[in-house]
Amino acid sequence: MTFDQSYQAYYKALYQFAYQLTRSDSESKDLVQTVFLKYYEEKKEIRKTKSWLFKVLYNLFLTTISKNRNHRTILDSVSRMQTNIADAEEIYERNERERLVTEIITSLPNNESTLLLLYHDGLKYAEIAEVLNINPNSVGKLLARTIKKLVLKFKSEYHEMF
Amino acid sequence: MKCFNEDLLQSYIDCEVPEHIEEEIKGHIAECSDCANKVSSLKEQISFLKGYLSRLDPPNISIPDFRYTKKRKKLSWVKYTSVAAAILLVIFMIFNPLRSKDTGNYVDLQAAEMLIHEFLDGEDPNQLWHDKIQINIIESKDGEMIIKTSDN
Repeated sequence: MTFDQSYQAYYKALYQFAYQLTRSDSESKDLVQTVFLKYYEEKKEIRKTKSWLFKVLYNLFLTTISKNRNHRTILDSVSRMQTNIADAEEIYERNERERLVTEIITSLPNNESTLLLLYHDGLKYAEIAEVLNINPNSVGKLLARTIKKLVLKFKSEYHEMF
Repeated sequence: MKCFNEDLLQSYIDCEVPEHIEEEIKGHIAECSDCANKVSSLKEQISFLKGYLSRLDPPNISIPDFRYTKKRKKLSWVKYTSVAAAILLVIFMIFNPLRSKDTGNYVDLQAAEMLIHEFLDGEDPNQLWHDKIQINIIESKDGEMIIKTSDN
């Protein structure tokens, strides 16, 4: 796959992952740009492109953005509104639900929340294992347990919101 | 037949098991209502989760053109410290109060004076200094002080 093909194929998926982590458009764009610059320079030595890109992005997030903020600021940034929704009440509810989802996700240990985001973004078990440096055979087990834990938490604590 | 645990059923739902195990599970859940229920419950949980996680998805994504810019190497703190130390050293050398006005060499004046006395072996240094010989005090590379004299 050429660089341009990889760029076109993975840009959206990477941006989505970055956005789920940062909740910021500009930070997500910067992260993805940095990842592709690195990829451009090291392309010849990379075999598993997709998992490599996700892994570099995640590590970059941990070492730069995540280090400089706490969960509170992530949650605060969620209150940024999307425009063109006329009804103020709807905006409030939508925003509140988004805030709660983020709150529950960020209440999980880093690896578990990232595991769910990568799964949601459609990565294969082998790719998830590469990104998180875990055994590919344990991904199914970890997923089953984390999903169960999260769904129970949603239903018991926030059922009235959803 | 033995029932399957949820970990394996999760992998089965995600199409992450080898083909022969997939066939085995398929055959089993067709006959075992417990496992069939487990599978549908897991599927329900997955779709519940994905539905809520989709609230975190970005609204619109457009792909910008890729622009390659060479990374500018940032100076590390080691480099900054070295540069600062070098600047301080230069300033110190220029304004060093120990710098000998006569020779331009950097010496400990008290130590130099003692050396001169020793060198002249009791003779009046002022007399010699001014009238007879010129004394140069030099500090060699290894820090040793050298006194050179020459007749006027």
